Amino acid sequence: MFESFTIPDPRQLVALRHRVRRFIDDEIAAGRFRRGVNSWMTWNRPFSERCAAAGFVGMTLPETYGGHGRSFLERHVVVEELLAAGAPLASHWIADRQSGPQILRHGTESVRRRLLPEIAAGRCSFAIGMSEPDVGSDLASVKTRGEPVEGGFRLYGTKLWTSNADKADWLIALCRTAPATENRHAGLTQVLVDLKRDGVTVRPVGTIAGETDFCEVHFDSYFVPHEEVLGEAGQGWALVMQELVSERSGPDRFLSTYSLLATALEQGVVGDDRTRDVGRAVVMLGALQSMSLAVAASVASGGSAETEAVMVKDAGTTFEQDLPEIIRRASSLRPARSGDGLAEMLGLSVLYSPSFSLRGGTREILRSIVARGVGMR
Amino acid sequence: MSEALEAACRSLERLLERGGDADTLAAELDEAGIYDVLLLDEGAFAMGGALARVAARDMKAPPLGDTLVVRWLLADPGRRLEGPTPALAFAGTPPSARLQRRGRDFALDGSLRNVPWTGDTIATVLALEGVPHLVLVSRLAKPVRTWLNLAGEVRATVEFSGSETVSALPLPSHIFLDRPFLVAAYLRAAELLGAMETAFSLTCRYSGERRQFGRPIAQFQAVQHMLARMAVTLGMVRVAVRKAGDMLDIGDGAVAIASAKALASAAAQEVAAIAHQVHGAIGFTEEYPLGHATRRLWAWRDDYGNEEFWSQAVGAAALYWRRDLWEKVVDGDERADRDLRRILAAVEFCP
Repeated sequence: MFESFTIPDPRQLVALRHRVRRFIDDEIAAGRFRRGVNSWMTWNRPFSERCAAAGFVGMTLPETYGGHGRSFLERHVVVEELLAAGAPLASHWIADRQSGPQILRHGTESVRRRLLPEIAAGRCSFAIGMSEPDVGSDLASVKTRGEPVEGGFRLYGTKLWTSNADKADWLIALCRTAPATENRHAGLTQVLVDLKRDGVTVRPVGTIAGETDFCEVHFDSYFVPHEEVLGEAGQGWALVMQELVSERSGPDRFLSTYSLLATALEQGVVGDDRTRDVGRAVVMLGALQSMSLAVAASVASGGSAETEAVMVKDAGTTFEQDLPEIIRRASSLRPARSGDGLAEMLGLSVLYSPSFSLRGGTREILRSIVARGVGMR
Repeated sequence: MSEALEAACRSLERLLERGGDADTLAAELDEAGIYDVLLLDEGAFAMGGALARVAARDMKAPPLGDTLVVRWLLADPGRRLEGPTPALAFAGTPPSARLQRRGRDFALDGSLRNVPWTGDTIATVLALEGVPHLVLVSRLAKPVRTWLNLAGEVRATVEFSGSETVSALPLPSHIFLDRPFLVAAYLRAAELLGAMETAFSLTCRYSGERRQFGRPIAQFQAVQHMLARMAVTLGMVRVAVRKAGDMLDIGDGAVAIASAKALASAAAQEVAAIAHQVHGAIGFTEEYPLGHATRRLWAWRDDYGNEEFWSQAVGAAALYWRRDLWEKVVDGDERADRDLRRILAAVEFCP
């Protein structure tokens, strides 16, 4: 519970932050993006490629695979700066945060050589194939099955809530390749899926926020060659748990609505009589940033921070949901779904807010994980 | 540094475990050098916060923070007074007390509020001709009005007649006027953390032992989620207090201290409420230890500025920083601290 965690000296990270801020300033000056909320869901492939050219994608991948051999902490700081700027990260987001590291850990050498340099160049996008129509929190019950055939597996089944699968190049799917035993986690396998090949179809799903970033992915005899299996067949549960740690350890879980606060302050829409509300929000922002950085430092030095990462996500998503309410009540803005100003940013934040405590692990599951982590389960 | 810190915490725990009366304990802590940790060359404030937190976990020992501040301000061992360490108090903004020269002596007028009353000497910090001074007052002339805070600690409103015994020493030049108040607030945040940790560990233990409907109540999901919320809040305060100590050891630490104290004060209610809710009626009794921890939480959260005061200051800073908010929060730049201190000097505060 953070007892032995150190918080990195902020002065040692400032030079790196300045590098990212200069890149962002140039991008904004050239009119190449506008600050937004939920910006890690905003798709902009050209931005991802320029971001990669600046050295900010695939940072922790080894240089031999096209990465930059930088530390997990350095990557964390860069991502913090990009998110705080409301930059559109979606097209490299999942690949950079979890799929690339997963392939590095568990992919065959030919897959690593083929895909990792493309990920580091911002040219190869990934989606997460975990949830299904009947499977959300209870991930071990996945029904997508991989039937053993000559040379590999054939996939049958459906994944759901797969963010940006309609735009991504690849997907990592969790499927069942052997029947469950007494251990319901046995018999699961993670496989790579090339979304351009035969046997896989993607259908976008509209959300109340008016976007179609959710998707349904249907497998009908999609062929996975052995070399595109991750790790060993049957070891999928351990692999997917590792992937989830990557997914949960980052700074995205408190910065999704930060652009709202930044823009509200910039435009001076908060009344002086609401100073305390802003203060409370800024105090929380600082606390979450410190906690998140401490988790990153622990992971970077080889420590385990699973419970702490989940704690940050729980507190962080609450903050992300509170922020639109704070801004709405502290200003006279009417949230809108048209236009492109602060009112629209506020409107989008309100509409997206239920999703923050659902994606990447629902809050109730996270709290059970925390309870276990403090010895109460 | 952290090994030395660990060792110091363990040795303080052992001293506290021995128990004994307040005077004996104070003498032992003094002899062990614990009262002088803020005078260390390196990591003094991280150490001070860690020790104040450990002391606050113990529900019988008096809080350590104020003593550490006074010793730090006294610094020179030759300046020390006989007898117990003076009680620490502040005059607020605008200051409710004023220091004046009277020939070669000093005099005070005005008053001090919420003084931890020991019946002995009071220490405060006041400016004289623009120079911050440590002021020691004893032999009060006017009667003192005392009351009990929720933790059962005696507090007093002290009025000065001009005829008290007053000595005043300029603070070392590296200690600016508001630094003692910031340090006191930081240590109180560390003490709130300690009391929260006691409430949390009592709650974990109780919920694992108390059985209803054939099982420990910790097995009910509702209870697990309450414990999880407590744990997350505790983790947040822990990190914030650590950061404040780190930043104090580097520079002013004003932004980090404001955040730590605002969080700790706000967290006190949630932690106390959940602790009592899980404990049921037994936690509400005088003889069960929980109430000692929660009453300290309810009392200490309002000392040295509560969540309203510090949120007001941070909010004013944010409204001033506007688009620079992010970098002011994350860069650890001392200009952010100077901005906040300038704002603090204008926020009304009544101890």
